Amino acid sequence: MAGVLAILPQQIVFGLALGTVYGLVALGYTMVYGVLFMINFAHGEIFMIGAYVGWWVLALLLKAQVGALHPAWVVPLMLLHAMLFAGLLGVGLERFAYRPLYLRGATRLGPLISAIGASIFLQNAVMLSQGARMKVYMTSLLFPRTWRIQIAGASVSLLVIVMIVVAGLMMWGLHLLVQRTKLGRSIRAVAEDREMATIMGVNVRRVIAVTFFLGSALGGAGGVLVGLYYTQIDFFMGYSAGLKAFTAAVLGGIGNIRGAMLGGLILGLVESLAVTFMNPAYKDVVAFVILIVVLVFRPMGLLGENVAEREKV
Amino acid sequence: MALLETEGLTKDFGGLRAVHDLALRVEEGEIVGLIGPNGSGKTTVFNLITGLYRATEGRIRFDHGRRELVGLAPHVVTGLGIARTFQNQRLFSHMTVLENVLVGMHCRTRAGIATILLSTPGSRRERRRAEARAAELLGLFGDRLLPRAARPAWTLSYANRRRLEIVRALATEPRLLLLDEPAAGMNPTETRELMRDIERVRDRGVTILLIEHDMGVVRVICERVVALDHGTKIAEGRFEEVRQNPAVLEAYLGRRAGRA
Repeated sequence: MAGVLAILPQQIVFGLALGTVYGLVALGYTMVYGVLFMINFAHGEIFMIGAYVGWWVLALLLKAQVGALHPAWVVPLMLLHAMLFAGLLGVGLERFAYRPLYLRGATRLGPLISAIGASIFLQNAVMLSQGARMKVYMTSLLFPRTWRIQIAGASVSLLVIVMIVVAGLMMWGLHLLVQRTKLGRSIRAVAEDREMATIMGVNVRRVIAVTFFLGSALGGAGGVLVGLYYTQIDFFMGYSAGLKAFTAAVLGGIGNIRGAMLGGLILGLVESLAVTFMNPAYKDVVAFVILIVVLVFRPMGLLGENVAEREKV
Repeated sequence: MALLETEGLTKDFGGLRAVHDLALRVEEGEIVGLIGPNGSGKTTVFNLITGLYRATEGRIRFDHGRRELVGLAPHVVTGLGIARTFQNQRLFSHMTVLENVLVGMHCRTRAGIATILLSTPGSRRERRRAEARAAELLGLFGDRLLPRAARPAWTLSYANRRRLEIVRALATEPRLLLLDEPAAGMNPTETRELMRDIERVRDRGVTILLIEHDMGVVRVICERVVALDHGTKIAEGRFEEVRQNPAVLEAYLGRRAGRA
C-alpha cells in the first residue's frame, strides 16, 4: 500500500492531463449538441485528423532541417495547423453532411446516421491516404526525457504540464468567448431557442457553422496533445478517444460546456486512479460504471438540466 | 405605399388554408389591431411577415413598397426593421435581462469574430455603447426592469417578462413592431400601464401591429382594426365601425357580447 501511495501524486497529475484533454474533445460533442441537438459521431475522426496534421507539421519540420526544434514554437505551430484544419473540416461536415438534412426537416436520426457515415468515410480516407500502419510522433525530439519537474513528490514530465496548461487555457478561452462576447451570446441564444434567435436577427446558420469550427478546432488540438503523449497514432484512434470524450460530455451533462470540462476531468482522474489501485484492464469498466451510476441518479448528467422540468414551467 | 402592405397573401398547410388572399396595410406611425377568433390566422400572418413561414402565394411589401419580404430569412427581415414578440413567452431564460437585450442588438452592432477575439479598442467601445443603449431601453419601463438587469431572465415576474420581450424586440431597432397578445395574462393595472407603454413606443417612431383578444386594449389604443376569420379579412376600419360589422359580430364579437 505504501508503494501505491508513493505514486499517487504522479497518477493524479497524469489523470489531470488525460482529463483536460478528454474535456477538450468533449467540448466538441457538447457544443454541437447544444446548437443542433445532434451527436456529431464524426468528432472522434476530426480529433484523429488533428493528430495527423500535427504529425505532418512535425515531420515536415524535421525534413526541412530547420535546426533545433524547441517545443515553445513547434507545439504552437502544430496546434495552430491542426486546429485550423480540423475546424474547417468540421465546417465542411456541417455544410455537406448535416445541413442538407436538417434544413429539409429530417428527423434527428437523419444527421446522426450521416455522422456515423462521415466517421467511417473519414477513417477510410485517412487509412487510404496515410496508410493503415501507425505513425510515430517524435515526441522525444521535442521533450527530452530528462525534462521533468518535481511536484508534491511526483516526478512529472514537462509534456504533461504542457498538456494541462494548453488544454486548460483553451477551455478558459472558450469559456470567456461563450460568456463574454457577442458571438458567445449568439451561440447561447441559438442553443436556447433557435427560432427566437433568428427572430432577434441572429444568423443561425452562421452561428451553427462557427460552433462546428470551434468544437472541431478544440478536438484537433486534443488530437495533437494525445499524439504527443502516446507517441503513436493511427486512423482508428478517433473511435475509442471519441467514445471516451462523448462519455465525458454525457457525464457532465450534454449541451453544457462546463459539464464537458468537468466530465473530462472526472473521467481522466478515475481512469488513472483505477490503473493505480487495480488491474489496468479494468480502467474502462470503472469509467463506464461511474457513468452509469451518475446517469441513474442524474439522468441529465452532473451539470445538465432537466429539460422535461424546464418545459413544464 | 404604406410601410407594410400585403397583397393576395395566402398560406396553405397541406389541405388547410390558414390565410386566404389577405390584403393588409399598415401606415407609418399607426397602431393597428389584428383581431379575430382563435385559429383565424392572426399569428400565421405574423409568421409570414417575419419569415418564419413562407407564403404559398402573394406578396409582402415593406418600407413603402421598396422591399419584398417573401422568401427572406427571418434574421434578414429583422435586419430590415421588423421585430416581434410571441404569444407564449420566449425569453432566453438562462441569460441575464441585460444579455437578452444585447442579443436583440446584435444585428445592429458591427464587431466581427476577429475583432471580438482580439478585443480591439473599437470592439470594446462598441460593447460599452451597446450596454449603455440596452440600459436606456430597459429604462423605458421605469424601474421595472433596470434594477434587475443583471439577474437571469427566468427570475422575473410574469409581467416583467412580457415587458422584457418588448424591450428585447425594440433592441433590434425596428420600424415595425409586431406584438402577439401583449396583454395576455396581465391584470387590469398592468394592462393599463402596458397601453401607455405601447403608445410611448409608437411615439418613439415605431409603427405597431398587434394581435389582442382584450377588446378594451384594442378599443383604446388601435387607430385601425383588421378582423380576420378563417384566414380571410372580414372587416377593416375604426374599432367602433368594425364592432358593428355583422360579419364580425357573428364571427367573434357577437359570441362574446352574447355571453356577457
